[in-house]
Amino acid sequence: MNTKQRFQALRRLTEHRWFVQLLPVVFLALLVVFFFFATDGRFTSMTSLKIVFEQALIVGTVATGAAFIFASGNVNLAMGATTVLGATIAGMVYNATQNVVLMFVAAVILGVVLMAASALLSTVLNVKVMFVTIVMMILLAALQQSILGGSTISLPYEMIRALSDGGFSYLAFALYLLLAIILFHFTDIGRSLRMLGTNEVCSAQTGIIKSKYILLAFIIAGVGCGIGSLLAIVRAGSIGQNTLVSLNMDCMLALVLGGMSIFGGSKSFVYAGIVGAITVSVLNQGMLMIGVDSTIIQGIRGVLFLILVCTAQQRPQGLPAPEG
Amino acid sequence: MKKMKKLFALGLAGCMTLAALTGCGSKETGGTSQGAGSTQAQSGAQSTDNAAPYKIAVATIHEGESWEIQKAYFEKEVGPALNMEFMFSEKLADANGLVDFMEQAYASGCVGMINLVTSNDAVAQGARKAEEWGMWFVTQNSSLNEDVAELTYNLGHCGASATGMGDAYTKAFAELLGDGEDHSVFVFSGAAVGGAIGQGAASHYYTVQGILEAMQDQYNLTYEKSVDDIINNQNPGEVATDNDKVKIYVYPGVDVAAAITAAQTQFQTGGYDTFAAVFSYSAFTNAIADVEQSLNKNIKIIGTASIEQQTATGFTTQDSQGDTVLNAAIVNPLNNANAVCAVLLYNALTGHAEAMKDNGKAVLFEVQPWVCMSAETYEGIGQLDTSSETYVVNAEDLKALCVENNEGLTFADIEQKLTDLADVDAVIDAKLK
Repeated sequence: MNTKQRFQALRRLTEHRWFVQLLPVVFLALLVVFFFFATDGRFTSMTSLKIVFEQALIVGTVATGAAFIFASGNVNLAMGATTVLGATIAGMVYNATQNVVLMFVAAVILGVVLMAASALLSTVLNVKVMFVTIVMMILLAALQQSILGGSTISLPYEMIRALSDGGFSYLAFALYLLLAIILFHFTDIGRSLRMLGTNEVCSAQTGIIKSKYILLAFIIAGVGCGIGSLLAIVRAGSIGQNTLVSLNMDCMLALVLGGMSIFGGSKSFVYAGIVGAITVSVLNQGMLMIGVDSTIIQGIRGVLFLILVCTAQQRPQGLPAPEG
Repeated sequence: MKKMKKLFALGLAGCMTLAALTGCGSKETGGTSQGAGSTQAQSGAQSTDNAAPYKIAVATIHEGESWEIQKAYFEKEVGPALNMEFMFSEKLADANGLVDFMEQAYASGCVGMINLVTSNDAVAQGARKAEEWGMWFVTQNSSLNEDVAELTYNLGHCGASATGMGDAYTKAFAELLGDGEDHSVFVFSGAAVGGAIGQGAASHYYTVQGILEAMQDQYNLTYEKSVDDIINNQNPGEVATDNDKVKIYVYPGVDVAAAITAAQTQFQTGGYDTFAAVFSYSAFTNAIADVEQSLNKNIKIIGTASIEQQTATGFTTQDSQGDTVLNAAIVNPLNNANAVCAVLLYNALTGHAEAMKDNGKAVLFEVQPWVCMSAETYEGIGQLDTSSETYVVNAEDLKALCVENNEGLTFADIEQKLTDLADVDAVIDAKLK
């Protein structure tokens, strides 16, 4: 086998969908094994693993929803702003009514409505999703700022503690992930979104209505934002100007680290978000436990991110080309 | 093959759901190493001789030169003196970031936490988490969070004296503006909004109060609104002063980039000649220098600073008008607060937590700022906190503040120590001469 053949074989391997799906999981497993030995087993104690998982929940939930939008070949930059605004409104609803159910309903409905609005603006006005979501991101952040001013919305510790001890975060996340997996991998919705991401022209010719599926993707992602809002409330007990400021970037990072193609399409899978979020969490905690300086941790994260992107991200080869 | 893929996807989904549900309702038991640390903390039996160092987490909101100086102080002076090992966070922004870092610290075996995330909600959330885990918790802040002041593991707050900052600014402004001319000032008020009621930053609130009152006294101004209302206005704007020759513009918020643009616009009108910033004054110097050059007008700068090269540069560099870039600084000796936080943790870890509290309640320890009006004064201050010989609170001082070495020592003695350090000339005399 000459060099060219070896290169082609390697390329075939890296383009294989199982490679893309398994690489992040294998990478995560290797990281856990590495930190297990590096910390004399302390990293894999129940407490440590529970903390890793808890830290990944908010990003994992929102990123799971974002996977539906990514799969269609689009990027939503307003996920973070939607989640934070949802948390703000839900917090205000709770403080006004002292009712957890109403808080839950407010968060989810607001998430769905805001995301659906983005989708409709994009499809009705025929503007690219990314541009609409940039505008939405700025708009929602301004709205959040005008609602909060310089203040912070604090929720009663007893309520937060009760929800936390009752395993609300785990349950909400698990149910959402299960729903997302079913919708993405076992229904027409996921298949159509992946087809859209692979090639819009082909998908249109097979009868897939783009606007309908984009709207559905945003609605499902909106539910994720709503649940993410609730998880943020349960975790911090308060919402302020700086709450989850980097959520949007964290979600994108998690999706890419989790193996999601930045171009969407057939190689997309919905659990990339949580795999990536856990990977970030494992990296942070593991490196801190072995005594790596926090500034170096940021650099290492960046380098690993680049390696994974370069290794696993290639535009899908669908005919005719996505550009038409 | 298709069936295989479905099975694999289902398998992964099952694993993840199972993993998620295993955490449901589980009661926190504490990490092995942490548990040991907590036991040591409660019993107070651990001796510093030949013992493993106490692992202390430091959650910060800072980065840059000033933070590196503080880290060096923790690692080179405090650590060896108090048998402590420090784990520093990245720059954190909110309560969520603090909780994340606390969890990582807890899993890493930290037995104490120095928290620099000062928002009320972050302090409350952090203190409650620490209480759950039996981790000693101390915050660097200028006001006490009463909601969590009586928690067992909350050792209190230590930070720049809010009223001290106000007094320092009043003094500095009176001196800076006391040339008989009319001066108009642009104030970057930072997190002053709500600072008096625990929503923003207390030190920022009292700083702006000091400035407004100094201006009022200097020019006999009559404000249309109360000083409290002016500070708590969330919108930037000019303050009605009832004097056309003296203008005051207050810009609230922590968005420095937006504040720079606003400051440049206002100075460009030619109506203002003094700039005051409760933090990050140095970020504004280039923008102000541009205005000085374009208007051929001198603009005075006064800001809250710390002991670092940047402050020295400000006092020694000349602008286009032949004046120094920085005209006055209220220097916050950050390592004094760091020293007190570490001492509080050490005393608690050695079984003397009660001595650090006032009848079981967390105490607010106040660090007095230093007023510096010239390069000459700063020359002395700038030499402090650079080595073991010049640290304002060095290893010897730290040990003297430990109950273990000084039986009968209480929180009042630490307060007295901070009061003694308020006299910067005495400190310079003691450390440098």
